[in-house]
Amino acid sequence: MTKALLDQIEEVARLTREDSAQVITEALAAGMAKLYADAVLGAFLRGKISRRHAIKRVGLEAVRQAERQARAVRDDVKWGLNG
Amino acid sequence: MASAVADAGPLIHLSEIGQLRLLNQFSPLVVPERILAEVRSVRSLASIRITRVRVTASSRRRLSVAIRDRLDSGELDCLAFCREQTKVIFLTDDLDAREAAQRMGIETHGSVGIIVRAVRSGLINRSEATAALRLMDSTSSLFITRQIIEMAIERLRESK
Repeated sequence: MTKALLDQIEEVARLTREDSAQVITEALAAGMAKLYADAVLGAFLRGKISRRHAIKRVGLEAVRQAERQARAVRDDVKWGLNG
Repeated sequence: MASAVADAGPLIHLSEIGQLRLLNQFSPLVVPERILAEVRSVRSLASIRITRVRVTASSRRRLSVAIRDRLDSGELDCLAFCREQTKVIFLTDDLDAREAAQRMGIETHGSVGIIVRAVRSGLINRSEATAALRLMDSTSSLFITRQIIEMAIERLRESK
């Protein structure tokens, strides 16, 4: 674990008055939640799972946000290559 | 060169991946004073050519109430300025600001587009653009799904 990461864990523990082990547990859970959402939204955008299935797993807002982002990036790449 | 107005997002995100210089493909690159105040902490801002503008309250008031209620003041300054230009590109990574600008008929693009366009502009090669796109996902504070970045990389690779 890097010093920067250890420093961050200590600072969060100090600010929240939790112990470091608890901070690490919460960081792992938060990181895992992001990885999970990314994996589900990635599968949805690739057409591997249905929209309904994606919504059930990560919520409507996250799916809508991913759709908006995908639309924006498709437009941007098209512009970047041809525009 | 195309002229552009920059919101805080692309300034911050491109700086975070060490590619602020890609904004040199736009001239002039206009940045409202309110946005400059937001990005004060961005390192290497001096490495790009910026035209600073002050947007007046009366100019902002000409935007619709719906837009004024939804966007922050920096974004409003950008839209108010763009609205008064004949041809300018609005650079933003905020989806609400992007969609509001598009409804106003303002051409809008984000950091991913800036990176891809920089290949065509000769500022970076494809390999560097791919690395920059990956850094957007792994390092920058841009909130974007990894698969979307991979889609962009795939399209860049497929293009000639």
